[in-house]
Amino acid sequence: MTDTADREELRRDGAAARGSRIQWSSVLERYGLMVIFAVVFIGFSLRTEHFGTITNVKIILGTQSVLAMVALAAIVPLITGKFDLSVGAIVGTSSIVAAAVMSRHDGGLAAAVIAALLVGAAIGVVNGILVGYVGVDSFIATLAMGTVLQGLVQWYSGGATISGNISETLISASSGYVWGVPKGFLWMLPAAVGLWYVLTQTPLGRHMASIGSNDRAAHLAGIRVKALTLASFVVGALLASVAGVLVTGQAGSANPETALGAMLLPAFAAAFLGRSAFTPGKFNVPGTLLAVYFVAFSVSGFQFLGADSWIQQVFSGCALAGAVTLSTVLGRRRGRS
Amino acid sequence: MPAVAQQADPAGSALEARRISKTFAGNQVLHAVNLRVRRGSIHALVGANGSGKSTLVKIISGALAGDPGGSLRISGQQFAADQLSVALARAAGLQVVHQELGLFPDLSVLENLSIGRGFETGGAQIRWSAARRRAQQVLTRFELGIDVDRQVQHLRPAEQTLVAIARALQDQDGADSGVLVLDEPTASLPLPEVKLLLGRLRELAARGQSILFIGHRLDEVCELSDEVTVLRDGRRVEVDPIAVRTPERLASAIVGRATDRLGPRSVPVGGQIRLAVRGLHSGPLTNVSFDLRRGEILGVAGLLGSGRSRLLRCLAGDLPHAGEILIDGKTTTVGSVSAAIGHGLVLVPEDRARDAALPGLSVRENLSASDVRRFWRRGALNRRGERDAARRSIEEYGIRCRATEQAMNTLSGGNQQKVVVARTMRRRPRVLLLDEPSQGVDIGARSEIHRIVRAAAEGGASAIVVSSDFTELAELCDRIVVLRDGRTVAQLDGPRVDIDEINRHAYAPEGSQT
Repeated sequence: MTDTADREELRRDGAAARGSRIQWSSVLERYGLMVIFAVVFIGFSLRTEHFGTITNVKIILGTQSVLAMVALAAIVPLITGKFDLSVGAIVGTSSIVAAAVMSRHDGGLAAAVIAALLVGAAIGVVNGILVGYVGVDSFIATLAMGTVLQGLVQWYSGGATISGNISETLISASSGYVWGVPKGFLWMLPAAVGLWYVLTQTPLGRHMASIGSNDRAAHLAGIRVKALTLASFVVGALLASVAGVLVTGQAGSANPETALGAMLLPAFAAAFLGRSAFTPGKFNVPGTLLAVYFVAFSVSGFQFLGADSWIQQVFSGCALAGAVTLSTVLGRRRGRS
Repeated sequence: MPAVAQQADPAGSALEARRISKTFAGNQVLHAVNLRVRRGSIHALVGANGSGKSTLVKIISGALAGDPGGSLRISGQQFAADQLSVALARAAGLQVVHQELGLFPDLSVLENLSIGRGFETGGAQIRWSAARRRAQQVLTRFELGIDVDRQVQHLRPAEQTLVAIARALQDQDGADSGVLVLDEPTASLPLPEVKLLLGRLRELAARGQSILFIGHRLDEVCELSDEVTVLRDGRRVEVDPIAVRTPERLASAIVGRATDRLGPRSVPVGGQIRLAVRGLHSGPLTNVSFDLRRGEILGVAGLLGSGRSRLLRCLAGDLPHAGEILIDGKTTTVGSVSAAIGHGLVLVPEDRARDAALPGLSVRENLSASDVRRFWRRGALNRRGERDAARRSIEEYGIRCRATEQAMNTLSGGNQQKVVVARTMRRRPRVLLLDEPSQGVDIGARSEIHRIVRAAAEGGASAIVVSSDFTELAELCDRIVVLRDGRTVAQLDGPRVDIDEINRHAYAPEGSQT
């Protein structure tokens, strides 16, 4: 029954591809977000005085680099088909750990960074074992993990910001500019390039995508599903920990509020919005970054026009819903879903 | 042609389709097809993938408008083929049960029977006692001895199909007033369930129910149906109603030539023992031992629950087991799937959608799912090389697709299966493990898959084939091991590789086959 339907679909696709309709919709889907970004950017630049200035661009690139890293941390398990809802809490936990080592234990910068990354990796290992080896649903396991981490951070910090004795090296390496490029952006860039390389240029990335598509099939094709699932949680958690250290450096202190995970939903929104760009239907690094900065620049533009901070959530939500709806409709037209 | 209501019914037809054509974007896929289902009979509609049978069924059920000029008569009501809708067809008494039954697995039989038609209610509240009474009556009418409160997912597969049929027919006035259309109802059922279902369908027909049965297992079609319509390339094939009653004749009518039954093996099976299994234990499998020679194709026959699939999954490293496995004389441990693949034991799983296909990924990515490392050069994936390899596989295995980048899930079932087989062959298996290799694929793809297995064997690989289709085993295999309740009960070779012989051993000791 479905066979003929598929063939008809193919025949229609074939006929249309020779024309131009489907190709246009495919191009629209891949590069639509980029085009809209450009239009929005130009539009706001013309309408407001300060939006298009180098200063504003630099500020946004810098301030959003933490969110960008958290979004990248989120897509690593997402590619293998798993959620890590604890990424936001990992950022906060690592931030507190790094600050506490320096401030409460008089540790050096190296010790602080190592401790933060070890804690992050350990959290990733626990998530990965629960999900990959025990088989707990990732949504539930990482939700629980995130909740526990929030509680632990509140307990340890007593709800108070940890400051004092934060390494000057860390602070100066986290904020400010090098040759006009925000330093936060320079933290994020190698992570993004490295992740892009692994995901698109190595067999490892392909194996992860196979697991995300059908983990039973990947297992029977000889891919080590459990180990790679564990690894994806660890890598994601490490990225989130680096973001946590960056947060501590940028603020010169660590606020336990960070662990409450205000970054979690914007990061996932960016991951899913980014999935509709470049390689529709697949989580990808450039799409994720594009999504983070598209939302940030648009919000900034609206704020220059006089909107309040609520525009952040409203715009982010609308963009996500719009992009995913468009992607679903176009995907269905091409017989993808 | 306007609808003319309630004419007298000529010559006892329950359904009559006349000159049904369909054109998609200038491409005619159905050419003036006629089809007639006699009252109280089972009429089979068969054809290869792409022959137009699903298009025809969609037009008959009103889901798709036919080209103007065709007409349909359902239980005496006349419709123009381009004006029928699903609602009209249903109102006229035509009910369709699809391969995906559309049941709610975690709801009860009662709820499944009531949802859709509506519960008996008093005000806004469900009157459970009335609903239960009615459901009970429906089950009694269809002679289904099952509890109305059981969750549908706990029923046997054939019972689930029967519940779906009962749901479709529950509001029909009498057994002989409507038409039941069954779209490949047996495609995903194991053999004993098929037998149960087919028996019940015969009973329904005997009580006057008219049935249009879309099938692809030809032995079933021949066994079950009173009449057969064969479609090929969108046209009805004129067939001799008597001669077509054998699966072989029917197969050649479907493909338009004599099906190339595999001839005798041109390369004799080598003498060297490739795989030796000694005292294998796992779950129901008890002390299973056999040898497999180089170039040999070994069939494993057995009923559902005999351990036949489990045997393959043990050898593929997917299930823990005790016992000894020797490959080329050396004791080997297959503790994981990757270890098994490393030793050349590669599985083509039974359930393609669940265990083999990577739906969102491209044909290229599916083909290289387990050997993508081959394309890893100088720190990057050699995409051109991968694409060229994909093109070669597509050609070699006759995969019909538009492009290497086409998503796997847009391929037909048969072509997806060929992709999976091609992926497996790329690992150059020493022992190919095939679990139901031709389940749910059409006759053309089936013989192509057989050809691939045969070619691999002639290239020196060995193969173990599990199939609930014993005809397939008899055709393809050099030797058969019969499993019953986890034990090997017979090894058949030479002239004993024969369908009756296999049946006799697989079904004994009850012996009295149904």
